[in-house]
Amino acid sequence: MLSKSTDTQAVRGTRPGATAPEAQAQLPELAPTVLVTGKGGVGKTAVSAALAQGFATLGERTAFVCFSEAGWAGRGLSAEVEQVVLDMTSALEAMAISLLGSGTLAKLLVHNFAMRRLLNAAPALHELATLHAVQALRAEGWERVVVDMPASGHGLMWLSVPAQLMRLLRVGPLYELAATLGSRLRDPAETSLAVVTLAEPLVMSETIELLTALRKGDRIAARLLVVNHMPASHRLATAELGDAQGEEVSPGRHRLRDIMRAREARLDAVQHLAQQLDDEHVALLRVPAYPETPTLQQLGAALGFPTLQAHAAAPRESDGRAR
Amino acid sequence: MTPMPQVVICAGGGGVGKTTTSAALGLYWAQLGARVLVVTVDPARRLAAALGIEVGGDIQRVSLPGVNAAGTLDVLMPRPEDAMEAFADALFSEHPERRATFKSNRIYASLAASLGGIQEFVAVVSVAQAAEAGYDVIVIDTAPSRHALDFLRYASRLAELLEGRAVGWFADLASRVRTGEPAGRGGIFAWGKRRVEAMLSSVLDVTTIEDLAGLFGDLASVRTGVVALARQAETLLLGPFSRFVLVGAPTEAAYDDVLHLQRALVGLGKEPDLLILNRAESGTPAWLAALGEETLSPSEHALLETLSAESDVRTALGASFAQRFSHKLGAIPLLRLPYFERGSPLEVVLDLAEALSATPADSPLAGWHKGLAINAERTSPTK
Repeated sequence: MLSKSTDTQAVRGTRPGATAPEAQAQLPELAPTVLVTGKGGVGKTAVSAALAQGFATLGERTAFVCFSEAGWAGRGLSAEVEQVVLDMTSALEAMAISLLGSGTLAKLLVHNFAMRRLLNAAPALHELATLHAVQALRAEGWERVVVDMPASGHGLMWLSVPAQLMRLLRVGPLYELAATLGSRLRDPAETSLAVVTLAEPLVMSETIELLTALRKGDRIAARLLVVNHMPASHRLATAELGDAQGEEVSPGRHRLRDIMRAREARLDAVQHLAQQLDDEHVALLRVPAYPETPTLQQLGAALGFPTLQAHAAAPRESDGRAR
Repeated sequence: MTPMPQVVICAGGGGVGKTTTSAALGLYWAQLGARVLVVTVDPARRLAAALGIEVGGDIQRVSLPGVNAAGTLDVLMPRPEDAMEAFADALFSEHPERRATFKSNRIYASLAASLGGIQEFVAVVSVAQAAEAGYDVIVIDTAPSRHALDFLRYASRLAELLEGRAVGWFADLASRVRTGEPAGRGGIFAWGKRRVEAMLSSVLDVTTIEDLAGLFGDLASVRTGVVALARQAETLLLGPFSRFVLVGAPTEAAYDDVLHLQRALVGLGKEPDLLILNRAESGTPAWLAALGEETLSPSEHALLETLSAESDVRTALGASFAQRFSHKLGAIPLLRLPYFERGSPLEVVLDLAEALSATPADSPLAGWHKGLAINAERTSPTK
């Protein structure tokens, strides 16, 4: 459905001598519900929004779900994308309504002084309510629901909440709900997980741990890994790295070569990970580093949406530029 | 009595260099002769990597260049996997028999891992303990999120949760659910209570409600201790000795995060004392400019061009974001720091500490140094 991305993925402002990142993999087929997770600061929200924008330009009825505390103002999203800002209290209320069948009763329960305290201290229910809200959007007829999940560490926990609640409750309507939501989450035809990361050693190693943990137990498997802010390659010929030959190198030049080596090491680490993931049916997409905040069109093009590659090839300066 | 340390709380969104900045501030003050502790509630590994040390549960001494004879730099990186254990230990230190029941509670066991804020709570306890240990400065590196400041009131929230009425309500409910006895009659409140109970019992099973009540009962038994701890934590973290540093970078996301955190802080009755804008140099770095004079190979030259162009973008963005921040945050002092790209995170920390020490006498940090020096004087260094 989606073509290989073309030269539009090249870094804008790339200097001579820099080579573009390796040929881009295709955006894999993703399930109707796409959950996007990642550490804070990796560009998770922008990647989620670009995915939503991309699906919308393919003609799919798309909803973009984010959380009220995330502060995303839907910058650059076009009108075809339905933006849903979830706040926890209403999500809990909605879940209580579907459990109890009455809005008034649900409000009474959620706002009961003792329950409120309990709910505040037990975020597992918040997470279940969120999964419930996402499911409700699918039931309303949205063909594609892209969710900008809260930044992990907590991301992992989020995905294990249904199973945890099932172990805890064992019977009852809440148990049934957790079971339904959990099976939706694990069904690869219904839900895909996308992980956003950076080509930086610490962030990468945390991502690898996340992927390993996801493979285990009752959690869902990742389908897509997006490596954001990929540096351009500046591989120097070995002869140019003459330190070993006893060449006198100025401190500045030494530093320059250190940076080059560090950047190459980052690119190699991504390449290595890509090979590993290949065997596990996780697609890896590289998004280049843009000098300034990229537009959703640019990001969408780098993620392999042909519809957005046309836009990005001839960008209008004012178009969706986050300001 | 041990004097109160200066507590410096660093907060910011993800990916702005917050942990590196916290480590660099710690090193900078240690270099000025203060006895410093850096505590992180971020995944411990980041701080460990930034300082080139191994992650460990206890306070560790770090040896880094330039630390003044009177100064010391210690770090504490509480491990998340130890947090639940430490949480129970902290709560039930004086009631070991209750601690066992608490830990064996089914709900505690199932939800323990997902209870938010536990790690932060444990960090607060550690900070409270460290405050007794005679540090001049305690730097707290918070979680990379907009909720970073929630931990400031976590102890109080726990104390509120344990407020007698809620605990009693659950205990009462549990006993009646078990015996099938209806709630007492009378008035609209009793009606509401009955409805809530009926709903809750229809959603949860009897054992779960009993376990909930048991958990609340155990927690209630240590309520006095929790309240005392909450007070102590608030004095330390929100009292006159705490200062707040917001860390940002010249990106839209980081800008939003800083403004959000600033509002959260104002909501807690505090103002940020300083905004550090990372990756926002004020011109081409000297070493990069000097390289322009050298004869370089073509690919070295190409990399130099790329780095210079990147630096130009950061300089321009730095200026524009500094202006936007000043416009929004007005009186809060702003410190622009350059981007340091290095082979190892430790080199970045050393570079940043050097940049901090090179700030002019009228820089926002200058006053702090003076204040800290006085603090250090008063606590008399006995090493």
